[in-house]
Amino acid sequence: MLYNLTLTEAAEGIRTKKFKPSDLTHAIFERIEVLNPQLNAYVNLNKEGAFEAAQEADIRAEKGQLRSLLDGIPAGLKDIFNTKGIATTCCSNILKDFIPPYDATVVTKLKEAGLVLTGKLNMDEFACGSSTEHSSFGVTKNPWDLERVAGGSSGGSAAAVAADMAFYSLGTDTGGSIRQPASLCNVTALKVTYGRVSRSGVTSLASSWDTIGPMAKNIKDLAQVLQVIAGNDLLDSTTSSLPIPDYSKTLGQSIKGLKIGVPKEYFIPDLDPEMERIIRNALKEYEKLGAEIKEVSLPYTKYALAVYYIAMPAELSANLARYDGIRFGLKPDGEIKELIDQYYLTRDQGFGDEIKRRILLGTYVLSAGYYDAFYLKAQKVRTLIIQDFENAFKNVDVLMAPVSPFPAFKVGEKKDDPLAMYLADVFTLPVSAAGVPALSIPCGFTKNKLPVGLQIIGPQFSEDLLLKVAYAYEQTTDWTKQKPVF
Amino acid sequence: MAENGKAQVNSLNAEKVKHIAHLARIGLSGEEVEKFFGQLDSLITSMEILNEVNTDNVAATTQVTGLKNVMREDAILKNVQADDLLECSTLPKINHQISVKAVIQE
Repeated sequence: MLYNLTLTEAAEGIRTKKFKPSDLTHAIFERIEVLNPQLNAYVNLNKEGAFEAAQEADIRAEKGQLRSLLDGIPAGLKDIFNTKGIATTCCSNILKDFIPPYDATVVTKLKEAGLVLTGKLNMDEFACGSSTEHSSFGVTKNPWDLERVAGGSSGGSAAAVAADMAFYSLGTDTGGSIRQPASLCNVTALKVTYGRVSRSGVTSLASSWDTIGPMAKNIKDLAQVLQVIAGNDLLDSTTSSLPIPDYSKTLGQSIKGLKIGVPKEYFIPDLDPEMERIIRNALKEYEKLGAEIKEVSLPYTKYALAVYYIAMPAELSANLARYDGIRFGLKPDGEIKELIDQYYLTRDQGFGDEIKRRILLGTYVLSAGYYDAFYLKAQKVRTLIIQDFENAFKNVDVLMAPVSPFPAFKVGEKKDDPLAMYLADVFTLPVSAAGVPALSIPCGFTKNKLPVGLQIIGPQFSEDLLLKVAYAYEQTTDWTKQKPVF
Repeated sequence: MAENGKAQVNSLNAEKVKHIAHLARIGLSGEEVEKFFGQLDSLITSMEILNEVNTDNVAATTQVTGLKNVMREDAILKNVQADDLLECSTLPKINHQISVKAVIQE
């Protein structure tokens, strides 16, 4: 079936004229029709637009004028990326009718490369969550077990790729929102270095933490997408001017002599024992490939949760202040006598509970009398977490650790317990604090057939190294070829 | 008040939650204030773990990749028309402006 192919295989098929972009698009939309009612990965479909783009790509393919390896390939985008003329809601009631008048920079880049946009993908509201249960459009189910969550906040993006409803997708990762759903759904995904990919036109959650990243079926595919979206952007002053390497160049090179650090603080009683066994098996595979494994210590790891849940809500509360119903957003029910009513009603009716909770927390830690004790303190401890990574990378090339402390959990299990939900990100948060890149690659399944992801972490701007290291493991295993059964 | 950079013992109460909600311009019902007070209370208490960490002589991080004073030419890079942006508002428009309730009361 065409939807089963990897991006690389699909691109090769187009190039050699075995099939056309429209054929791929047909296959994907048939797949979506069958599976999306069960999974709820897509919240909005772009069928007409997709076929238009596919037909234009058909002509380019016919003439041998393909723009890139991504040309004519159907893909979905988390509903946080501005797509001109297509609703972009952040899966929040407050933006349910918002239609952006411009594309995000990464969307422009993908369109120029020949994107066939299938639709917008489900997420936790404003990217705040680890299960996609906080979406205003219902939860996304895990393709491997429909009673469990797909993870979050990029749950829809992960599920769509896992279930072959898209050849790749884009997500965002602020505290783990690409890596965690990827690991729960058997998808390969990358959280880039902060500033490697432009965030212009992408709704901000926490401005000093947010990143954009690709999610795909394997490392080769991932590298292709990263190649297109990475780069400096004059519209985003937090992007790096460092040159973009050829991310596919090092794939297949030997990793003999690679020094892998295994941080002891990530192998704690909270880590599911079965998952620990699976992760350690992956490390043994790396030893067989010639890598050297050594235990390292990142002593400030346990403070990352508190740092994140002080600093992130603070930045979120500032970023969400613009949602007041004036320039965009919800028209609320109820009488608006004065301006304050406009704000109170719009924001009360527009935001879900998790968002309100985080805005209140953020406002509190920034308020007079509490700023020094909470926000400033958190930003100082963040410095210490960053130093943990800098020190580790003096002695090792990469770090390896679990992505999530547990496999996909049941829908409803953690939704009403904020702290229990926040604990899902204990292993991804420190990485986000440091702004370093990390990959999540499938490395096995539990006895309940739930996917497990291995986290590979590198120094800033080492995405090419991470891809090379992950590729070496991928070639000796077949986890990424496993597919859920429906 | 906070002293010596130490996070103070959690002093959150329902009144403070009401005040914070007003600062954040979210209209919460009495029930919601109570609900969020309970949840925020336990979250804030768990954040106090940071008191264990000595941060004397540690600088705060605000930018993780060392960028400073990033500049560009003051030129229009994205041609988005004002009327397209105004379309996004559900409020009435008068003469290419969004009509809002009075900001300053009589």
